[in-house]
Formats: sequence, structure tokens, C-alpha cells
Amino acid sequence: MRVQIKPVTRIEGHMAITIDVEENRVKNLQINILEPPRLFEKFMENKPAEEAVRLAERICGICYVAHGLASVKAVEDAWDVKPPEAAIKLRKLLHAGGYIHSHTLHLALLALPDMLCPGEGVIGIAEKYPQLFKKAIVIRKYGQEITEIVGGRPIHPSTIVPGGMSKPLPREDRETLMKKGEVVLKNAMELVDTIFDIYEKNKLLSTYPEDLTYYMGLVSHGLHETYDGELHIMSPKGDVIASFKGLDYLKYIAEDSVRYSFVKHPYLRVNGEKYRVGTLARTNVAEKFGTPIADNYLAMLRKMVGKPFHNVGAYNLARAVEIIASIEKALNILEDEEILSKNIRTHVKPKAGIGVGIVEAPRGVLIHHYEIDDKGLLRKVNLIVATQQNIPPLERELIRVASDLLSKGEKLTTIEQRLEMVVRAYDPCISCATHLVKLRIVS
Amino acid sequence: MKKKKLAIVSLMSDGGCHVAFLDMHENILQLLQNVELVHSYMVLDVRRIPDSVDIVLVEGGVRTSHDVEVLKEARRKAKILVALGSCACFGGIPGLSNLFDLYSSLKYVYEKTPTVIKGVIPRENVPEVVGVSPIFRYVKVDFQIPGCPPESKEIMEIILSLAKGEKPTLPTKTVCDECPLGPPRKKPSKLRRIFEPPKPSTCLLEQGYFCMGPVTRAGCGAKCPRAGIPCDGCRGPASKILDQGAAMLNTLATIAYNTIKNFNLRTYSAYFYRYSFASSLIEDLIRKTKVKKK
Repeated sequence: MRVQIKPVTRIEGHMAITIDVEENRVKNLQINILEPPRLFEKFMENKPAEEAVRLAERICGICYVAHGLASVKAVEDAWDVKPPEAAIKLRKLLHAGGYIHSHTLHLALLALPDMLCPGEGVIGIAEKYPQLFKKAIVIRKYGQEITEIVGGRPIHPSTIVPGGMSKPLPREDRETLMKKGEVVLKNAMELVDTIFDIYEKNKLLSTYPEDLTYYMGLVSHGLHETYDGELHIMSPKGDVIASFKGLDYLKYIAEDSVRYSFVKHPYLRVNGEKYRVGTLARTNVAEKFGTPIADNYLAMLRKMVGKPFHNVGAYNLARAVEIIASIEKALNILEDEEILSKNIRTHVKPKAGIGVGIVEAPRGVLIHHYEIDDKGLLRKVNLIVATQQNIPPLERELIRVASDLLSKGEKLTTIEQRLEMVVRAYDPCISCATHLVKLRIVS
Repeated sequence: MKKKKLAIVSLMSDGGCHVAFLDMHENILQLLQNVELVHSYMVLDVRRIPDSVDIVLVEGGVRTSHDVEVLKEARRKAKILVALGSCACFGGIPGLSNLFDLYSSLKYVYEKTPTVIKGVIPRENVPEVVGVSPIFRYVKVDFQIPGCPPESKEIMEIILSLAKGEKPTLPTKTVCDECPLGPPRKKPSKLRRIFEPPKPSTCLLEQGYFCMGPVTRAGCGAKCPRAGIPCDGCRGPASKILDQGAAMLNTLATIAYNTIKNFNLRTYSAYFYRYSFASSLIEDLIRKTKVKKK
């Protein structure tokens, strides 16, 4: 018998899961990424490198900020450009805005229906839990306002340029964001408390699989990092087995193409092992966030699951904590007078070179690698995007969960629902990964 | 009165139009008092498009045989079919890949990038890949909402107007008309790239930046030029302009020629045809020539 879940809903992009079942056992399971391949890595060739930012942002309609930043960092790496400190601060503020929008979109609008009103989607939340829905709207809107003010537009910001930022932050906009930020932080704490409560009351972690994998994420002096820092690889036992920067990623990451999916499957070049990225990985590789409220929540989370923690369901909890951390980080940056500086662009001269830009997108490690010619045009592009790195471990987890439920004689609809919950915990963004997924079960 | 049914269908896209829809924020509640959202893979659990839907918004252009099937199904089930965003309207940024041979592109991405060890072009249980197209090449489109992404306010107004049975309109002016810096009073003497910072409070096109303002449809409030960045034409050609890139080349005339003679089409398509290459006259011509050769 062949079962197909197509498409998997409430994720960002098109993915299917095909399961071949024989005598109540999973014979084969494939995640088929149906999201059309747009082939960015090829068609970005010959384009002026400074225009790469606005092209690359279109890889993802959710984490455009992360793509824009990885892209500009790659170009600046190739051209040996160091933007002024104020510009870096504005970029970090923009990045925090992107996290607030993306994480709230996923947690409150895509994942929460599974916990509160299965089968009803976001409409269920809006109609049955209007207070929660309104909180989510307030928080996500704040993220988009940051992006619009700092980035010039709420989606696909335009102000990120090699050498810095094209637009300074007006004082009155800063005051507005600071004032709203306090209210948003309060709303976010209430939302996060609710999510932790639901998890504890319903013992939700026990419904998700544990998967002892390697983890990869940015760390800066032991602290949680999204823009700078070094990539750390952590073993399932919690040992840091490697840390690296820039072009060295080639020594640690390899990928195989597979016949049945538009997404390439990455693994660790050093040992062939699968690894995971994203909220869970970042909170594993870092000691702490460095902001007080988020660190309190992190301590609570670690009390529940330990460190490193492997439970897929903890992705959602780590995501919740990162919403708090992002708002705190945004507020810290806003308090700094330097972000009002007009000195936000430095002189840039294109030249031939190779550049790598690494940031943490909301869904995990994001790498842009460009080869640029002497006219300043892109010659070769390679991208490692967040979601694709989670697909190989996800496939393995789905096989385990499906096998377990089949052996218990669960109904097909229950199996579908549970598999989709596992998928959603990762907040997969399929358009990114094919640059990605629908779940199919065909009988 | 019964609420009109609304569906959002996604083809090849980055999901940004869906996010622009959600960016109505609290106004979504007001929208939902007027229409019933019956399908959206991103926020609902309904896997198939329901049988009869009053308004279907199609996000994304066509890239695979699967996109074509879904698009035709959407057309069959829709009373009104709307192209949402510049990929659906004009092909969008992925349309730039039509300037590269499809097989070589797949070969590079799946077999040749520096991180790939075992390479193979996916062909099992995945749809066939075809050239990028705007949706009008496959089905009749009743209305277009351009933009990358479209303005959230505009999406809302157009849905409400269609739900009332009215005929919505788009702004007919250009981005220059909305820009505090424009329109350009003189032609630039040389062309510049955006890594050189522009002078403030001066028209970007006059300074020589490839600003697509004169040929691009208004409605965004000239957000990019206001932020010190030239318009890249995301809202597609303004009214009465047949071909956005050709119109811009015409605007720049000889200056453009002197600059771009050193570039090939793959390079300057990023300026002139960033969102509209897959629906440009020049792409049409290339395609017809290819058919003749075959």
C-alpha cells in the first residue's frame, strides 16, 4: 500500500510525504519536495554583485532579511569591505525584526492550531482564541514594522548595500520602535507562557521523537548569535567537534542530490553524519542568550529537556524563547545612540574575489558563497539554506514515527496528523530549500 | 448576504505574496467578515482547492508540469482568477533563468556546485521542469495585482472590491509620480552602480542610477527611492507600456548603449527586466527563434 500526504499544509512551501507500507511496516518513505526549482544558483551568474542582495532576498518570502544579509556579507567578504559599526547595528536590528515576524508567524499561526484546534488552521485560532490571535498579530506586526523602518519595505527590504546601509534611522522612528517594543515584549511573554503551559499540561514533548543528531549553529564567545561569530558543530553527546568560519565551510559540509526530491541532502563531510540546524541547534550550541528574560526561559527549557536536547517538539519551545531574545536584542540595539549615526556607508571598490556570507536564518544556518569577476559580476554561486539541512534527519524521524504508529494500529488520519506535526516543528521553508515540500500519502 | 469564498493557490514562488496577505495584520479580521478563506496551504489544513470558489488568488508563476495542473484546476474552480504578485503576472525574478539553458542549469545546481559529492538531476516522483512563465500563458486571467510583493493594503482593497462584484482598478501613474525626488529633469551623463552612494535629495536616475521609476507602475509610494535605493521595477510596466525593459532602454537611449555594450543580456536583464523578462518581447523573440531552429 502506498500512502501519500500531499501537500503537507501549514508550512512554508510545497512538500509531500510518500510512504510505502507493507504488512503494517514502513518499507520506504520519501519526502518529495515539489516546490519548483527556481535555479537561483545558476541564474544569478553574470549579475552585478551589489544587485545580488535584492535578487537573493526573493529566494524566500519569509526569511528575506537573512538572505539579504548573507548575500551582502558574501559580497563584502570578496571585496574586503568593512561597513561602519552603525550599519552593522542597523543590520542586526533588521535581523531581529525578521526573526520576530518569522517565528511568530510559525509558532502562533502555523503550529498553534495543532495544539489548540487540530484541523482548523489559523481560522480556528482567530475565532476560538481571539486574545491569543491578537497577541500574535501585535508581535508579528512589530517585526514587520522594524523591517519596514530599517529596511525601507516590510517584505524584501531594499536598504542593504555592500558597504553598509542606504538609509539612516530617524530619531522619531527609533522612539516609536522603543515605545512599542516594551508592549510587544509583554505580549510575547504571555504568548510564550501559554505555549510552555500547553506543552506541560498535555505532555506534548512525549508525542515527538527524540533524535540524537549532530547540531550546527553560530556562536559568539559562547553566546547565541545570528549575524557574526563562528559555526560550531556539536556531537549528540554535546561536545563541540569543530568550529570554523567563511570558506572553511567546504571542509565541513557536503551534499548529495537525490532522484526523488528537488532538495539536495547535506551531511557532515568529516564523518558522513546527518546534522540539524535551527532553533534547537542554536540553543544547544550556545551557553546562553545574554539577555535576561530569554535566559530565564532558556533555564526553564533546559530543566525540562536537558542540554543538549534532542526532542523534535523542543524546536517550538526554543523558537518561543528566541522570540523573546529577538525582542530584547532589538530593544538593546535601539537604546544605543550610535544607531542614529549618519555614517552608515563606507567606500566600496569592486574587484575579483571569492566571498562567503554566513548568518543564522530563523530556520538555521544560511550560507551564500560567491565567486566574483574583475567587473564585479557574479561568476559562480553556491547556497546552503537552512531547511535543506534538516530534511535528511527529518526523513529518518518520519520513518520511525510512522512505523511506531502503524505497529500500534493507529488510523491513517492520526498518522497523517502526527507526521505533519513533526514536520511543522521544524518550521520547514520549502521555497528556501529548493531553493522545497508537500507531504503525500497515496493509497 | 452569503460571504464570498476566497482561495490562495501557490505555484512557483517564495511565499512572499502569502506573507503580504498576512501583513494585513489586524485588518484580516475585517476581511474575514466579508469573505470566507477556504483554501491556503500556508495557514489552513485544506489540501485541495474546493470545487467552486468565487475568488482565487494565484501566487507564483509556472515552472513545472505540476504548476500547470494546479493552475488549470484553479481556473476550472474559480469564478474570478487573480494573478497575485509579479511572478504570476510577469514571471518575476525566476524568469531571469529563461536566459540560461534549462538542462545546464539543472546540471549545475544538482551536480556541479562545490558542495555536491553525489550529483543527479531529480526525476523520480517529482514533476517535470519547464521554462518559467507568467500564468496568462496558460489560462485566462481576470485581474492582476503586481508587486514583489504586492502592497498588503492593495490586496485587501482589491479582494473587497471583487467580493462586492465591482471592477477594481490599479494606479495608472508611474513610480516617479509618487517619488519626492522625481521625475528626472535631465538625462544622466554616466551610469552608476549602487555600491557608489548617491547624493541625497536628488533624483537617482539623474545621478545615473538604473532607477526604473519612469516605466514602473505606481502604488508603492516609491518606497525604494525614498530609502536611497533605485526602483528595480517590481510592480511591472506602468499602464500603456508594452515592454518594461524596452521602455527603459528607450528612456536612457545612448547612455544606456555606451554602458551596456560591455555587458551581455544576462547582466543587464538584472536591471531592465528583473521582474518581467519571462513576459518581455525579447524573450518572445528568443523563444520563436528556438522553435524555428527545431
